[in-house]
Amino acid sequence: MVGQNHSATRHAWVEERLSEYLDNRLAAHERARLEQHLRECADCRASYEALRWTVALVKQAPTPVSARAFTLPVPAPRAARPSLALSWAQFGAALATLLLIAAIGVDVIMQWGGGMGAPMISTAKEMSAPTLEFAAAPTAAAPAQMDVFAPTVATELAAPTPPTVAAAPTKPPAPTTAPKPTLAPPAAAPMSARPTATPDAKSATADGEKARGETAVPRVGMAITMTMPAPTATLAPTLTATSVPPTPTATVRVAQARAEPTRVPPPQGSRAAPPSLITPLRVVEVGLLVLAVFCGALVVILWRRNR
Amino acid sequence: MDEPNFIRAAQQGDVAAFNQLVRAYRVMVYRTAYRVLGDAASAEDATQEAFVSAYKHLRAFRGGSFKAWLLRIVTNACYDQLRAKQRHPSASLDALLVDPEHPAPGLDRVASEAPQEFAERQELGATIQRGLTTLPNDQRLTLVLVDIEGLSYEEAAQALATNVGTIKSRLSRARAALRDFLLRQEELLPARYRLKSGMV
Repeated sequence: MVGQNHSATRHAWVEERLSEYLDNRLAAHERARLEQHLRECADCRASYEALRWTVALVKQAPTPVSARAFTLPVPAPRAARPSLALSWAQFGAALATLLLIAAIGVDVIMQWGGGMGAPMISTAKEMSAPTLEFAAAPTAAAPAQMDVFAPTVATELAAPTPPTVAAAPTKPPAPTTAPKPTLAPPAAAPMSARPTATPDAKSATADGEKARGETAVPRVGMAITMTMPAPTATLAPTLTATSVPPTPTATVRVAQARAEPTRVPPPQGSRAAPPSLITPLRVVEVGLLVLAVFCGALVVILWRRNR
Repeated sequence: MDEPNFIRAAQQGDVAAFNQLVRAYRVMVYRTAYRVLGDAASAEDATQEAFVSAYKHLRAFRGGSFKAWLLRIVTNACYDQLRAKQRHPSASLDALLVDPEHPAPGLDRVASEAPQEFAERQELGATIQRGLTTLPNDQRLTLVLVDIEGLSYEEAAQALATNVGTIKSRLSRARAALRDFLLRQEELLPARYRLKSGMV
């Protein structure tokens, strides 16, 4: 009984290792022990032979084949990427076109705006023009400081006191050599304290509205003397006599002239010049147009060559 | 075949290079799937699934046996198919029953093989397939990988994500079970494949 159990245990031990023995995976001492048993046990030997037969049959089994290739679809080769030059040309053409459109847009807006703003511009030009003309005549007597306020003086001279305007051109030739020293004494006593008549004329005319009334007389007189580069002793009384009464109106007219510059009658021959067709914006537009056309042509050429 | 270069190229997304690997291994992969699953349709599905999965996960391959790595993917694909068969048992029975008179089409024929010999080998293949279907999945997979595909114990352990001891045990039981099955079916085998013919 014990011998049978021992034999069964031995058979089981061999049976478990036949597979490894077949693959020559047993350790040396286990292989020797197993081979010893196989020589002594016909059943285990037959079992081993059947196992070897089974593995041999499995290896002889035909290989199934499938008609399918199982390959993965190769993505279609992508179209050749456009060259860097073509990309830049496209970018340049697009950018130039956009900028051209923007420039034309700005031009159109300015054209519309220009139609409304033109009178103001021409008025400003008209206002500045007489300054130059007026200043040109008495340069000897009234230097450059008078430029800014020359329009106001011109206003005075243009409308209410034509005699003074008429007197002015006739008088200058004589005293041009020393206008200022001669100006001070004959004009008025208060004015003599001031070294120059022109700066005072600025403040006097600028404050003409506020100072109207009590200081109207000396200021108007000052203004007149200022406009008169070379008053003579004989002319001075007539000037003061004639100019004192209309003083208020003269200062009022000055204020009006400053408040409403558009009413200033443009001097003859001083019309605003017609706007030039060649403006910086036009130059930019033409440049952008050329650039856009150039880049567009480049795109077409490169695209055809790539194709 | 310059397998390492193809693998590197395929890892970079070169499908054409991967298809070279497919051509090199498709017979092995399909054979494994067919022997594990038992029918052509399921085997083809598993094979295709395995190659697609291999391409997707090729970056995870860190060297070693590409064959074993690929067979592990095939094994997983086969398990997926087996689970699908369990959900549809009728299809499973139809697929697993192999008619010895009309063996599965698409078996390879050796060039020098006579038609009679090829027919007998087809019978042998059908009998073995029936025997394989009687084995548990793990044992069947182990036997197919080692005895049909020729993997070492270590490679089979890698492919089946287990250890060598388990492979030894499964293989021993699978071989013994298939041996017993074939001994019972021995009379149905062509004469030259019988044990008594002394072929081994």
